[in-house]
Amino acid sequence: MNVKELPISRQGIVPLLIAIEAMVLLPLWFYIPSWISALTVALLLGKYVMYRKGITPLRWVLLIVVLLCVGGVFLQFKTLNGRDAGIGLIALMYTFKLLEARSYRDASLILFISFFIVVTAFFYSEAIWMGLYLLVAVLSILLGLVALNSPQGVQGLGSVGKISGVTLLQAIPIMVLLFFFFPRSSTPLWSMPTDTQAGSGIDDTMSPGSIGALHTFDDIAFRVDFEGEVPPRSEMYWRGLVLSEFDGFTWFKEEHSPIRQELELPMTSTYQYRVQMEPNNRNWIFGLEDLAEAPDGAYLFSDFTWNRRRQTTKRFIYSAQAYDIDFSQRQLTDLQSERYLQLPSNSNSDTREWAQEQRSNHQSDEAFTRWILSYIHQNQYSYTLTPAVIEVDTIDGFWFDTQEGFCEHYAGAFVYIMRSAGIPARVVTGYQGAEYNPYGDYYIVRQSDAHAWTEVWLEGVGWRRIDPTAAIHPSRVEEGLRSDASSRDGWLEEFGSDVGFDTPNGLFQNLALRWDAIQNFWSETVMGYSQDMQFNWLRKLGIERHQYRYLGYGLLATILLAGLVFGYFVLRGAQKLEPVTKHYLRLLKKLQKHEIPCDRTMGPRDVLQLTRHTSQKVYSRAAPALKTYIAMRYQEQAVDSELLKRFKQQVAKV
Amino acid sequence: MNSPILPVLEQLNKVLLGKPFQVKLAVVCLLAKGHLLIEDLPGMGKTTLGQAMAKVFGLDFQRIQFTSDILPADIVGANIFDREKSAFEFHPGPVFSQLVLADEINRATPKAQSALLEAMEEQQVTVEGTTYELPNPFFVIATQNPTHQIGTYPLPESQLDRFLFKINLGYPDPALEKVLLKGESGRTKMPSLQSLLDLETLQGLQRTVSELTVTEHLLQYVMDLIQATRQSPDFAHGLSPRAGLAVVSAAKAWAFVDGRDYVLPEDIQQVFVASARHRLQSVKTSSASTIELIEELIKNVPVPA
Repeated sequence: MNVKELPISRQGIVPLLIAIEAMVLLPLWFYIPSWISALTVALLLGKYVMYRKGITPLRWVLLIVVLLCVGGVFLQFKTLNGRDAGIGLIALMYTFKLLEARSYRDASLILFISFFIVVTAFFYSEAIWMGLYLLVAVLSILLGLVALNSPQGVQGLGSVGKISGVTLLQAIPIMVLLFFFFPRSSTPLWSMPTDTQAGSGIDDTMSPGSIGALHTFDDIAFRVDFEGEVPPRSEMYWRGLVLSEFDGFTWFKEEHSPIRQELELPMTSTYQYRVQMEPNNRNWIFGLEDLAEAPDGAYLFSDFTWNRRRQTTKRFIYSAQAYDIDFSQRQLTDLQSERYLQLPSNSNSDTREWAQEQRSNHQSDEAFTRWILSYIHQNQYSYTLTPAVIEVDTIDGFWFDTQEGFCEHYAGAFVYIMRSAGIPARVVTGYQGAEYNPYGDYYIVRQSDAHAWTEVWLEGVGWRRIDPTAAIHPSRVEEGLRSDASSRDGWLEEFGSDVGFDTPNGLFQNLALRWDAIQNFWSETVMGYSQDMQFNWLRKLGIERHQYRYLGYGLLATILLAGLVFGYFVLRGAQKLEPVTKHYLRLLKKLQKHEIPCDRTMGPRDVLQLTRHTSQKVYSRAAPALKTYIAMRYQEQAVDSELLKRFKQQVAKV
Repeated sequence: MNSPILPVLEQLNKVLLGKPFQVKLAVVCLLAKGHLLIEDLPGMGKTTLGQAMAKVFGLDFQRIQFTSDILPADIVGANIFDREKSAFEFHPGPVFSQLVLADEINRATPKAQSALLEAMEEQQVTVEGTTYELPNPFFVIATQNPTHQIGTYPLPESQLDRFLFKINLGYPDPALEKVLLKGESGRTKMPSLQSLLDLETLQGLQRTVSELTVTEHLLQYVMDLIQATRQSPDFAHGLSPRAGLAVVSAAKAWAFVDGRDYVLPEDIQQVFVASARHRLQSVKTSSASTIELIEELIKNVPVPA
């Protein structure tokens, strides 16, 4: 029975198609305009009602509605091109197609289109859950294909599910082969449009509360993979920006320029690492202090930060090296001194006067710096995420009155005091610390690790990193921030912190780390399997870059050949022909060439008689073969290899 | 051809002129232990064929003329009180005969029809609790008028299934009809017919037929044909397994009549129309007759190579 002639209204096919379309569209509903989502849902429900009631929609009504929808999409996006308009349109047309589907052809078209539409979800998200979901969706499409091609329709999901599941499993080797070997293009086939919503992180200004606000975000800023030695956590200062302009309330990024020439500073390399950075939609990227050589795709700037030409809108992977830079031979230029001593004159005068007064009690800048840190340590300065809000003269208010704050309060006040005392200083923002993931052997830096610290220029030493928050007495660190604070660079030994790593404890943290390891694998190895990775991988197999395209051709040819061979066997009824059958069919073909009007619906004796009546010459040659055939097929003559050979020869003589 | 059936066919063809295929089918039907249904207009030689066959095969012959008032007892017989013995005695009806010609079977009421058809199926008759075996061989040739004629009770499908073949005789050739009109054949020749076979030979032949070689390949062909009738949109329903059995045993008999001890696809093709046509119902009544549809179907099913 030919399933192609069966109506698709039989046993469960239409509900299954509706379910498949819903599954395919489900991820898109979160992203496409809500009216389109609502309309597609309505159309699917409408199709179900029509199916139950046996209604078929009028063609011209459908046409008008379709045109209206196209108009609607155009009005919404002012174009029919591009990702959003295109997918909106596709989603609508997809459901309309189901609405008018009535034949086998319609249904199979819908199912094959589904395979393409299901992938459009990747335009919006490449996360692992999306990949897993789409796998389920593809399975359901296969399910539909199996059901559509079985005369009974859907006889329970078990039987069709088994066939489609087995099919999917059988496809796995091909999938793996194509994944690893199919040539990748160096640029993506389509460019993902900038997603302006994503990406939070450290900004290029700092005011009280701005970094504290980040502490609540558990989002991952970047992941780090150290090659070889790993620095202690208290050394993990991930430098992002240098803020040196102050207006009395907010710190701004300093004017900086790329360093084009070689750095002529004595430095020693320390740690080798690889960063996989989540998009932050900013130009700057983060590096382990001290930063020197910029990784590929970024530049080193005069304030020893790294910036990219373009914003990081998708995951950016870079390798870098940390250094110990010796600034002792350097002098600040006048311009620089002025910049790092700049303060607004009209605010926070109490602190300024206090700083100048205290400085005069100390012999050197370094001694004064140490004294300030111990001042913080010994007085009632506390570390909290929820400090009291100060309206004006924020530094005065913090330093003398509230004495509580987050890292930005301390960093800002510290730099202010330094500058007031005539010591060049600046604020540095970035991240501090990292969480070790033992399941993936890498470190996770989260938004909550955002931090602000300072750099002070000490004569004869150069820039010296000072983290004033590390000086806060542990008893005055808010519960919950303690582990952060305890692992900071104390600089002064008397505040010596217990250096160590947070090893995962607790089931939830365990699971979270495992999940992150999986996600990392997914994004780095699966989604991030780029041309470069492929080259590296292939080189290990002995395939060089210049041989690369032959690999592509070879693969293509193999697939084509496999398809042809497979198709040949399918067309031959997927069964191997018996030799007797094969020879007999050849005999019939030969007779037809001799213009004997025989065909496969005739019995062999009829063929024999027909031959005799048509051509005596052919008959005399064909008769032995036909008689042998009759004997083998209908007289229970045992077919042995000798007889078969004879039969073959007899056929050959015709 | 050295079949012992050959002289039989020769004799029969002398009586029924110009119908060698139908005569052959009738003989095949007897050898395959089936029953024959002939549908035709009155006066086409149905009775002649039946009588001639009885004579040639040496079978005793009874003819039952079915009418609308015939009763089952008129067919199978009845217990009649014997005054002398003062006991009931069974008087066998005309069905107790080796060859029964049931004439115009569709003129009778369903009750009478089924009396005969049950006898055909079970080879026995039960009257008032006593079972009487019918003779062996037992061969029924039933004739029926085309069903659209007035005063006919069409046989239900379940009963049509009991007949191995359904055939038409049809009008004779003009040339042969002239010979017929001259009175040089037909019933006038009947007395000259000789009995060519005795009972034992016939039973032996029937046994031989049933033991003929049928290969897997041939069965596959029958299966393909049956499957085709089931899948064809032209028929209301396909052939039953019983129909398949009928086709195979008929093909065996046909091969035997042809003088072979093995069955060929051609044999199937020869008997297929006659054994399938009364078992299939065409959906489209107007465009093509069932026979044409079956012939078409045979042309579309390839013989397994």
